[in-house]
Amino acid sequence: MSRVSGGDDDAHEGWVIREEDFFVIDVPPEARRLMTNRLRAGATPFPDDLTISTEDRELTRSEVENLLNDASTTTLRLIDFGELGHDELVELAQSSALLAAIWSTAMGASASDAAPAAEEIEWVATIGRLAADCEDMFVTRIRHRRDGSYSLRWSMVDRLLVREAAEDLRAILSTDDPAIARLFPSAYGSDADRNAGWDVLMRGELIERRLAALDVVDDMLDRKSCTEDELNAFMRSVNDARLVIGTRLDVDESGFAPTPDPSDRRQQMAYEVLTRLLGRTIEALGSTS
Amino acid sequence: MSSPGIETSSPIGLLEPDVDIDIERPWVVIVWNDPINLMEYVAFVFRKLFGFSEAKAHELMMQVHVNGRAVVSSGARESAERDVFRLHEHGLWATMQQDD
Repeated sequence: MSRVSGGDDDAHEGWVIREEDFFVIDVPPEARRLMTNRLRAGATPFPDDLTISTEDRELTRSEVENLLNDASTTTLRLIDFGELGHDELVELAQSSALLAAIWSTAMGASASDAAPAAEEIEWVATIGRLAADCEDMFVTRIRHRRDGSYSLRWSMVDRLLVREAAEDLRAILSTDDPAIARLFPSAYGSDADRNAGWDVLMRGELIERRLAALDVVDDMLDRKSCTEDELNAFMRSVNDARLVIGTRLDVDESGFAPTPDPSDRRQQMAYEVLTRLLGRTIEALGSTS
Repeated sequence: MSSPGIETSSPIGLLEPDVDIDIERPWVVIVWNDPINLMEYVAFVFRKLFGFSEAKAHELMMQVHVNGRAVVSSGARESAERDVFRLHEHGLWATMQQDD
């Protein structure tokens, strides 16, 4: 059994525990009581001038109340479950995040009249903490430590998709699969003779280095820390895998076209996960310089 | 690409030097735009491989993005080959040619 912490390194334990293929919500009794009471009470009156907007429009008051009621019901139901599957955890992450967002907006809106009551602050912090701990299951964290190493906390989804992409890459690296074209560009533009010479000399070495980096990735996915060199190898492998999948998806400057093909959808999901993960890796490596 | 003077059928410089190239003219390493590589990744690789400041790396990355290409290093053939190799190792589309 692995327990995934919800904060910096291993400072405190999270409220979501990951088992082999399910999740357990482990909220301390006091916080659970607070949440249960608030969620059962339903939508509490908001300031009249409070507005909540989605990306494209402002919601009506009744829409906000409906959202709150639905999210409250879902959250109440799911935190009482003994075990949550992956989809249920996604649902809980969404419903608790929505509650946290709306309640913290409401608290901010009423702060102009009087400071929010301690009880309000505690409630918003509690539902926010639940949302963050659920989300942590989907987000990989890479942090630079003072000793120069990096702490790693893998999300289940990222770990799964990186492993798959790495296996795929390993299998096609030494083949003539057109998806690997971007990994071995020509060095001399249109000069065919020199390009052929370059390929003879360099391709084998490039393949070896890529295989060595993939070995590092395999190892890192089971660990909680790594060195800077290992994280650099990880970054190159994730980028390689993105290049391969992006080539298959025919990505252009505007991204990839939506497709009804289920196997493409899987690739698109992997592409998006690898993109996010690459961004986090660069951010972590960049934070040292 | 360059002038007829550099046309050769011999292998590239790591094996044996081309006898018919102009050794005076430096080689330039060019990175080309690619729709898949992330902009922040390209800038990060420039910083890492060439020791550029954040601002310089960003400027070169934007040149690649907007103009389609940017010269990232120049010098002797061997050093250009080394740079191209490291850029390829990082998945960037890089080529080298003798400066005009």
